[in-house]
Amino acid sequence: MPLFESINFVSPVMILIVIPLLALIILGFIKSGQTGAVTYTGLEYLILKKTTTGVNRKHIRTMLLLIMVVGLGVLWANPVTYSSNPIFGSATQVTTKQFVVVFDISPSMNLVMGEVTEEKKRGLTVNDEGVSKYEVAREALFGFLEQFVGNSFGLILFSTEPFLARWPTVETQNKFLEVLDESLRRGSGSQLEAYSGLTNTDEALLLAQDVIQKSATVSVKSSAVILIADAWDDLEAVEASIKELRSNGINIYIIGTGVPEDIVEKLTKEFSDDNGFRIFHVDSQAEMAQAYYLIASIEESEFFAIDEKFETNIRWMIALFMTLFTIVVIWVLEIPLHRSRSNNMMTDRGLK
Amino acid sequence: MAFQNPEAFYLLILLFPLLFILWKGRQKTIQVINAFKGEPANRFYYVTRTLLALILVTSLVMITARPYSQLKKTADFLFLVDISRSMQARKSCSQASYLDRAKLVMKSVISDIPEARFGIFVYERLTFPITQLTFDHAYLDTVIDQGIYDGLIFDRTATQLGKALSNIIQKKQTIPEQYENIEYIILLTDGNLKGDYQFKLEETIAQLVNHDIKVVPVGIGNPDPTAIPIKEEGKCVDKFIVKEDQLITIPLNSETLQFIATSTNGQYFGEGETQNLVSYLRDNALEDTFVDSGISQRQRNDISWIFMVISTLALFGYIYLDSNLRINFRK
Repeated sequence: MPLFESINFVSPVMILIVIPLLALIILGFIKSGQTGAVTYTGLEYLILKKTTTGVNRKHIRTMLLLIMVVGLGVLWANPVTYSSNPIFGSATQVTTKQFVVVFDISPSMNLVMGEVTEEKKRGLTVNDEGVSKYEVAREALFGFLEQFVGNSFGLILFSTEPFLARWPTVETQNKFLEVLDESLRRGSGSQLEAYSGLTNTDEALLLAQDVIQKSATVSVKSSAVILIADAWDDLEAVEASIKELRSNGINIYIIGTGVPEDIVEKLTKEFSDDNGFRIFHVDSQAEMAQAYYLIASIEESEFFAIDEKFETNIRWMIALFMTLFTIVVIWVLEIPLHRSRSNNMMTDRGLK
Repeated sequence: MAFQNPEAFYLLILLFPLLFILWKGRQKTIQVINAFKGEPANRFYYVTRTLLALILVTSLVMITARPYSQLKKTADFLFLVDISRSMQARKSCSQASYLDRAKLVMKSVISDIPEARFGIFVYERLTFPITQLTFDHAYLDTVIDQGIYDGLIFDRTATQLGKALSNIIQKKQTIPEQYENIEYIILLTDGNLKGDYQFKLEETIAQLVNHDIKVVPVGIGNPDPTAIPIKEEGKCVDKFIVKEDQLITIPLNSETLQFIATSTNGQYFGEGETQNLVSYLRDNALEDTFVDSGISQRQRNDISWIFMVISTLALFGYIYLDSNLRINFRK
């Protein structure tokens, strides 16, 4: 298996810098002996009668210098290799998946997981007991972020309207705590609580699609939306949004924290032939963790796994080779192919 | 300057055999020239040639060692951007809105302080951070272009600057691992605060001073009242918002912003004074950072190019002296 699959140059134009050196070598090759350099290249040659003629020596010398100049040009062009595994410990991953997490922050996400009472359905009471759906979903998301470190994540919060809280980024080490650290609980006085209102799921999905389409770069090989919601007002609109995203090749995973079973069944049946759509009915912390586990498994499966690619800058390796090669070239030029110089007396046609 | 592969310096030991090779070559030349009764080049020629060879090999070793520069100073800055409806003011749809102009200021500041870490908060009635604090300035540019727009947050009216500033203070307390180094907030707004703003901001300003946070407002807008165009199907049309038969106009309220700056020990800048703003931030905020801190590691700049320039010049000189084009070096 080759060490790397392909090679590229960060600044190929910079190779032009060596043109003056090439010109110098070519001019020197054409204009021989005018300043006293001789084709008779030393006593050893004459005494030992080596078979390398003056013309061949000149060709070999020129060739070696050309290789050095080309090597320097490669250094200027800044070569990088691409491989499926990191090499030399200094590689960076260049292909990533992109996830956009669409998080429902309507008041009903304040309910304790599994609790669906009419009284608390609209989040009209404070839930001091137990852990709310929002908190469970948030903790599970943190685990998912850790599992997919190095990949790109965006965050959309939605309530009455969707809000793009984070443009997709690979810097997920803080787990979006700047936003998600806030409490959603009634009476907390947080910004999230103030934002919490109705549920506009379909608009949130369309915003996710818009963000993916604008942000997907060559390095992003696969995109998915993870929708965390407990209910939606307009099932038809949500279905239409799901179909639109799927038609654009965006995978959708819905973690329904309290979504009625009949809706889950209906959507599951409708998209039964579609590997890029899954809906999970979640009623407990364990089920939430299981849903994320399954999403991770699907995204890492053969259907959607990306070919990981690592980029390694190899300029220093070329420089290492060049260092050793330069010593060898100077040795060859100075000893086996030695050429003596005089300021006068001789030309390439011999002694004056 | 520091090196990622310092082990490469062991290669410098190769300079000794190189010197020997060059000395041996010179000896051979002297032998041949004496035999052919030629005139040898002067000492300067040989010294120069030897030096060029040494410089060439040394600079290649330096490139192998992967040199980088580490910025010794950095700072964390937060942009607080007003995205309320008033920031859509402009005289016609063909002109840039106040928000578009604020974006230009942000991009300019980010570009002119490459060693700093920036984060972006947006506010109207509510306040949210829309980026993490990051050194990735290309990412910030993308967010400024694509992720800040009219209607980003649902409520576009009833701007609450006081709450926005308080929210940042709160973040500094609750998430110190991210925000503890925040001492400067770059506020981009038209400065339109309704009612007795001094009274409304009194408590917030006291908190800011308490936490040693300075607000650096940048006034965005026209000094004369400017109307807000209506959007129809998401597109700006040259009709303007009217309320109770009165055209709603938004002038730049620099007086308010100067008050905020003065009260928090910051400084006020106009949107045309970006260079002065950058100088102010550089002079007052940038501080020495530890060499091995996470901040400085992310700010490594590859400076191999310096040694590539040197090696290119050295090789050029070496080839020239080795060629038939060279001048004579008479004794």
